[in-house]
Amino acid sequence: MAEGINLLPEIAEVEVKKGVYRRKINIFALIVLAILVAILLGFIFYWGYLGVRAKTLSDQTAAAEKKISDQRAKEINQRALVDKLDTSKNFLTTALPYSVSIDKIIGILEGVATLTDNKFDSKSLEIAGEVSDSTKFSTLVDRLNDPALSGTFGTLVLNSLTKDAADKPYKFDVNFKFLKEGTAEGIKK
Amino acid sequence: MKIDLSKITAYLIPILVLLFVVVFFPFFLKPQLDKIKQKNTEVKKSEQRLTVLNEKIADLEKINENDVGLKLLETEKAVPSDKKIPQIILGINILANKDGLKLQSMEFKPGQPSTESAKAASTKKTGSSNNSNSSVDLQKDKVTFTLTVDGSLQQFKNFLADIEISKRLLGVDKITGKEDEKRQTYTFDLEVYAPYKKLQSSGDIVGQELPQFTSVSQSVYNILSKLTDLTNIFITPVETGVTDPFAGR
Repeated sequence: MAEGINLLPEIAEVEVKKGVYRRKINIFALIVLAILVAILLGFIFYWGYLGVRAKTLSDQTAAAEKKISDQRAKEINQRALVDKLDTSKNFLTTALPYSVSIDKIIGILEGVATLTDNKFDSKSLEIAGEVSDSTKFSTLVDRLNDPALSGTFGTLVLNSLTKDAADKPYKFDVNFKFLKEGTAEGIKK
Repeated sequence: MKIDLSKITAYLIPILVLLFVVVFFPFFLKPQLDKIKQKNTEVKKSEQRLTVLNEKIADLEKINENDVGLKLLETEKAVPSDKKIPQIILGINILANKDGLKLQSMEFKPGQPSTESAKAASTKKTGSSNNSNSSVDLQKDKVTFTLTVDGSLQQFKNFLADIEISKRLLGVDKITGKEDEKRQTYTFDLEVYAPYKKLQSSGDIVGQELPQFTSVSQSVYNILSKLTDLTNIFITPVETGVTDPFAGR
């Protein structure tokens, strides 16, 4: 009776496991392949989409450019206008209103001193003049240091004060900063 | 030695897939990725440009052509497209006379040649238009000149005040004044500049954004329109060699 029983399996367990692994590896490889093909197809479709989009954009751009070119004269005038106004703005906010400084200086010197030389270079003002006596010189200094002028002139620096002879006037030379800038008020820099 | 082909055939699919991956990625996928990246950038740039163009079309449609034209005419008087030196000469002369000053001299500093013939002449003179060692300091986009006037301090103040409200923008850089020997009048030397702005169009002007006429532009325009036009003088062109080009003789 025992003769009909095969105690040894026809396929060894190791062989069965090998077959299972092989199948799993094959399936895994096929899945990887499918993913790669899907990625490839994705790229092909995206490339095609980009091509179509680029063509559409190119057509739309050409149409827009034509519309702009048709209004070229309007654009040139607008550019020229804004350009000139920008230049004007720069000028109006930086040009120095020297008439203001001369006006103030006339007021300061009036009745006390005579202006002999002046040099205004950018924002640095230098004036030289003559005063007949020390009282008038004191008045001149007071006027130059008047707080009402603080917005127009900076700190006063006396460069020299000389008197050559008793019968000669005092000669003075002072400089200060001119604080005003811009010939037009109310424009933002 | 015998190679067991059965083992290779058993793993044929994974081997082929591995080979495919090894070949596919560096030789096909990577170059395609680079191309797609490049194309994508191009498309994005095109989209941005189209947006700019569409915004520009909308801006252009909002512009009132007549209004801009009139404003440009007015602004042209303040900052002309060329130097307009004869008008400056006459304007300054009229202004000095009006304020009682005696105009002694006017000397214009060399600027950038504004016409083709002037450009050719200056190139011929200096040897090269791009001569960086040139001792002549060329003034860009402004006419610069020195002016000598005689008169009293008050007259000079009035003259400066008139210059400051001139529609043709005139700025004073430097002033030196000296009392004359008789102690009656002063001699003033001034360095004056007058900006001008040529029309410029270079590069992709169609793709450039349209400059906006803002509230600041409007306030600058309002100021300019209130200034006094001293240089709106028509000068008849005359031939070279005429003694007094302003009188035409």
